[in-house]
Amino acid sequence: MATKRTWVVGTDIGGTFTDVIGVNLETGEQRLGKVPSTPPTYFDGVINGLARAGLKGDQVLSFRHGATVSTNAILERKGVKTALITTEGFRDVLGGGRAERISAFELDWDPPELIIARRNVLTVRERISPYGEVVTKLAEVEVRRAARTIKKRGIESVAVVYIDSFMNPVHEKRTREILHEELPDLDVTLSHEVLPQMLEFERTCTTVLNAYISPILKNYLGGLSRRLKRDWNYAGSILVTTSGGGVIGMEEAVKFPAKTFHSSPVSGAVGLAGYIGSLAGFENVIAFETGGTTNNVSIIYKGKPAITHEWKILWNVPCCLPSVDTIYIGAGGGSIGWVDKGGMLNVGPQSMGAVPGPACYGAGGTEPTNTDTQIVLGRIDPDYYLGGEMKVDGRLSHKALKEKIGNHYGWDAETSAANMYLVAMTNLMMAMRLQTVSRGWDPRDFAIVPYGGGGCMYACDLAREIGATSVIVPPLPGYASAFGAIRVDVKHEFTTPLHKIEAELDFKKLNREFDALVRKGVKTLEREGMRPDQIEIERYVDVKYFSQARFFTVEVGREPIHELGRITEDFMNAMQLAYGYTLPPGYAPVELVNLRVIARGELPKPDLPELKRDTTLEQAKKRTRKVWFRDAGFIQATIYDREKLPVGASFDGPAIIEQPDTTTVMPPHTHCSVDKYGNLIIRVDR
Amino acid sequence: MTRKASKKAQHGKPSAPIGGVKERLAMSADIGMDLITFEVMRNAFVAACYEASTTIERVAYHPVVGMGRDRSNALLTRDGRLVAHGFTDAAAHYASFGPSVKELIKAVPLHTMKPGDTFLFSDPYRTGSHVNDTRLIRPIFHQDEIVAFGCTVIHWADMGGPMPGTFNPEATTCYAEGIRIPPIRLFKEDKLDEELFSFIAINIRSATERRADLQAQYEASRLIDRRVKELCDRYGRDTLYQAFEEQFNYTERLMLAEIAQLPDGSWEFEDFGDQDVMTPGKPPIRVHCRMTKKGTKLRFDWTDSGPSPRGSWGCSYATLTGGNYLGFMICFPQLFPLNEGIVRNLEIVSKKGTCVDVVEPAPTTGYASGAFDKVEAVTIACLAGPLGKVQPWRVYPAAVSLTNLCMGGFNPRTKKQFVQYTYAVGGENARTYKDGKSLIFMRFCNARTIPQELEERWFPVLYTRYEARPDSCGHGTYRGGFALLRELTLQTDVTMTIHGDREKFTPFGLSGGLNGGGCNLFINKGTKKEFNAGMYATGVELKKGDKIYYASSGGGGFGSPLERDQKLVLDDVMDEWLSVEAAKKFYGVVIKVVDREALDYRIDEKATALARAKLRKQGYKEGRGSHQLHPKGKLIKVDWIPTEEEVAPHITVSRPPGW
Repeated sequence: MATKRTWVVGTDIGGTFTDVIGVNLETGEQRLGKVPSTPPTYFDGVINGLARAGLKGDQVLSFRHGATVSTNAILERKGVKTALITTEGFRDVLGGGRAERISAFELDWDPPELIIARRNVLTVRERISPYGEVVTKLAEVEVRRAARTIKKRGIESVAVVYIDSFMNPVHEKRTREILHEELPDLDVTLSHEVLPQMLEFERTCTTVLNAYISPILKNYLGGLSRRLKRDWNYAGSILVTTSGGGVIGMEEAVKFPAKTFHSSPVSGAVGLAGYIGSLAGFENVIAFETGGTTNNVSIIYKGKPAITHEWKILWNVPCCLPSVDTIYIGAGGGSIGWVDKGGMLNVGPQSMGAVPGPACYGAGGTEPTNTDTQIVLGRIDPDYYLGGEMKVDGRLSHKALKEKIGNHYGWDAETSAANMYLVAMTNLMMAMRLQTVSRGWDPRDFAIVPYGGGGCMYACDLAREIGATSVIVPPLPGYASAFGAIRVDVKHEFTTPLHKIEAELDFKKLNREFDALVRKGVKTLEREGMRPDQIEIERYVDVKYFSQARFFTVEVGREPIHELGRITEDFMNAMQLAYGYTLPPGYAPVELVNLRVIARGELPKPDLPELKRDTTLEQAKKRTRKVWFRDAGFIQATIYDREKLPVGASFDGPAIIEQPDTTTVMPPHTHCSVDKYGNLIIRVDR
Repeated sequence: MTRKASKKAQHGKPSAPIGGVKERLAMSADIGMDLITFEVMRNAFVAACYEASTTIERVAYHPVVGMGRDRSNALLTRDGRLVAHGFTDAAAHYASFGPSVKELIKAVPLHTMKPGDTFLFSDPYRTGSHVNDTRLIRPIFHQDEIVAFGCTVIHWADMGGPMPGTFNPEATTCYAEGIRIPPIRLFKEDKLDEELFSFIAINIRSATERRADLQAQYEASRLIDRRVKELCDRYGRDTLYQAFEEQFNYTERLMLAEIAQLPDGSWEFEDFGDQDVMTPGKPPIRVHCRMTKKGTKLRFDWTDSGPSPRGSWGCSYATLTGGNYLGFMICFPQLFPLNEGIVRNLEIVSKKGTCVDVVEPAPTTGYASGAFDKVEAVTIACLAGPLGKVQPWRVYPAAVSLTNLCMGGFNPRTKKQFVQYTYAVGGENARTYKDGKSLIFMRFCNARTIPQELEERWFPVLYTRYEARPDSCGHGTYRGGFALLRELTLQTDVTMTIHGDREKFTPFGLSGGLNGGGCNLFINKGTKKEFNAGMYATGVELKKGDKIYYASSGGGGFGSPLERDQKLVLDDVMDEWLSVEAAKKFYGVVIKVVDREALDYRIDEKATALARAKLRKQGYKEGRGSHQLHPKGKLIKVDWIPTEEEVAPHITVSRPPGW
């Protein structure tokens, strides 16, 4: 008997935990599972999590997965043995990068080790001109020699990147044919297929990343789908989360694994923070996630995530596929406070990590960390750490702060903690300001949505600092990425390079190329099982002044394009907004850089279940205790139990809201109301 | 408008009366104001400059500015003391900020400045560097008081003069370079003075492009203005002034603590420019420094440097200080950013009329590849004396030098005149414990290369090579980085000028490490028409189809190549950085290539032992040229060789959060 498929399931693998969330589309029922991750394959963790949540494979309509494996393979250098074939004379495009240093003056710093050593960068004679003409014909015999080298060296995957290949991919395509004639099983990634865009280093690096992990992701997803079938009775497709804030089918993910980097934080930002913001009526959201060693900040503006085409997985290791612009700040619960030789107090970037961890863990760490400051300031109850599951010792926090910071300044532990907290906060504030202000956006128009472990302790003070008026704390801060994965659409992005200045434009050809891109988008979605009514197409062009380095992406609607008027106008407006100026007319020709199509397959998006809880606000009050707040010092604050807060509850700060996976701090002059989903909507008065 | 900036800082204004911890927040043993406000402010100073630099990067027109980052931004006190600069700016500009603002105030009384007035200024004798580095200086008003200055520098690709790009190695006076610009009020209350600009525009090439670059510069200066006003609105002017002083005091404390750790003594070093092209016999040009360290005092005496050359090579005093500051900051990167706290504690002495202190009308366009580069390297070599005893990782041989390549002509694609300006990347110096980085920028700029795929679309050239030049490093126990070799074919007729150096006197090695390989520029190399244009070719007329072969310099090595681990030599050979011949010639390591495709390379142990013994007996040829043993550099030693683990905690990375 066929079971009805009514569940949407999101799974996300973190370094420590594997999170599972399932929502029934008909009843709205929500089920959760959090279990330890099981490296190296992680499959057991997924199966365990699904079992813990009580979800059944044959009832699942749609399965979403955040595959952290690709990011980890890069960070831990665990990809396959990879070679690069490139144009003769351009062997050091990858190794030379853009020749920049990470910071002025420091010569002892070195960039991360290269993914492909110079010896495995093979060159062949060929050259395409910037305008797509063949300048030097492909030396096929050299490709065959490269194939021989690859075989002798036991190389499993190859990236092929020729200069200006995106203007005419004939040589790259022929190279793949030859390689496959010689070595039928070799994995080959072509640059014009991954990123058909100008800038040789960025394209090379993105292509190499793709080649390096392609076999890994293929194995991983293949293995996962077999396990899901065998042990969980699920034979449907797996949709994989992407760095662009969507999901893609398995076939696409295996071909272009470079699209899946850092997809976990991105899913949380787009699928959770963006959604929570919209529920409370905010189009503009600062998504703020905190973990043990890093925080990350992403921006949702007018309901859409801020996208970058210059995302870097590491310094000098760009992955230039469209990615939600997430910035990482090395300051988490384990970050250390210290005094420098000039007498200034600093926090991080050194971290105690989970082992030995903050001083309060009593595991040998004697340095004061952000977690220790929160304990000393009365915000974290040492007896309720992780809901009381972990024993921590507040006296050790006091000791560390007094000895490592207090003694220098003549402060007690509390003053040391307060100062350290404020220093940590200024770093976060800088990041948030940079993410908004430098784009021409006013931070006052944003709500902050904090999630992860510690963000809710900083969020209200941060809001005040940047001038935002609202903080919204979602009900499941510990399931952000898994939940986010079930709230996003299938999203593909395709580009065609154009590189034409006004005088060179042929609109007929432009429209033909646009149509081809749209067809490609529709076809890809159809292959992934999307019905026509689910498919939505957005068209954009990338525009800049000729000779300018960066472009702006301008939406162009569905109609054929016959003139530049509107495009130029929108480009100028975008530039005006971001930089407050445009060039006087006639100073520089406008150049169309790329055509861009976003093909979206709309998926059912389960809502947060409405909260049904028969408690009163009085019952949620645990007690009061002394807590430190900025501008107020230590004062009595009411402690609430989040799990007993009823819908519609409404109360003022100073208050602390406790739940096992996070603590929310409400300073004086804030007001919280609990909406029907259990979100804490906190108004921060100035 | 006169307010004495209080050196003895007072406590910051508490934001609210509170009990408990709060009232003790402001107190700190060292910092005379609320610690947190100070933290916010000092971060904001750098962030404002960084944001301004980002603005320029995004909107400037010329690729060398937009993509290449030949630009800088700074915040200064209203009396012209440097407070902060950006994270990714060109250090060659840093020293020019202070003198530029001070000279502006001398020329234009403060009380005549109105909100929105913005001044253009480019006069190497007063502002330092060269005419192409134009400064746009904006007084920042809060209400009706000038509280600070924002200063934005961009390399304008052309400032007029006989040569496209304005670089002119054969100039003997500034009048044969480009036009100088005295401090002029180009924007009056935020309105561009079109008349004044037209006067400049008529004298330079591609003026409409420069108008676009100017706009980027102007937007950047307004951005700094806005950020500083926001700080004043929020914290008050007095707090701003106080934070400036505290920033200086704080940096000064850090700096003096560092200097106090060094042993007292006196050290000297010298380096040479290849030639004074305009003096018969083309003699080399000497840069010399004697550094004296006593207690917390550091004195750099450059008076023994050679006389000002006739050709364009030397630099003005402001630039000398710039090279000196830069060398110092490279040895103490933890002091980032350069500011008044450092400036006021370095004593820099020179003699007017020497190559490092040229006077009007001596030419200056070649300052960066010439004097500035040597000043920086010599400063670092002097500091190597004391640092070698206490922080041996801060000892650095010389690194890749600047070569300015300018080409001008008619661009058939845009149907306009073009001026292409590119500079080189190459080998960084070896470290005392590790090889140097290859294909990286000169130490004085944190710039980025212009991608070939972009450059070819902008300018009528076609690149056929852009890769490392094998064997170009300074060999050593730890070798320097490798140089870059570019080959390109012209797609149209051009007039070319190259303004470089380090063809003959190459980046020096230390402690027995050899000098790096020198720069080269050949036209039509390997053909019958081949000629060596050298590093001082001026206004060479080239035809469509001509080929340029353009190689930069490699970084100096550290320690004797004979002490280099054979395995590292083998690795370099397998990576084809190093040829089998060079491995034998310089390292005495004999390698047999069994099968290149299979990466089967083997060291012939016996032949290697023999070759090394022979080399040891023979020694390396002493000299200041490519791959020679530097006679002064070999004398610089360190007390111990640190391990990478030992160095790691000292690496300071200064960058904005998440960047």
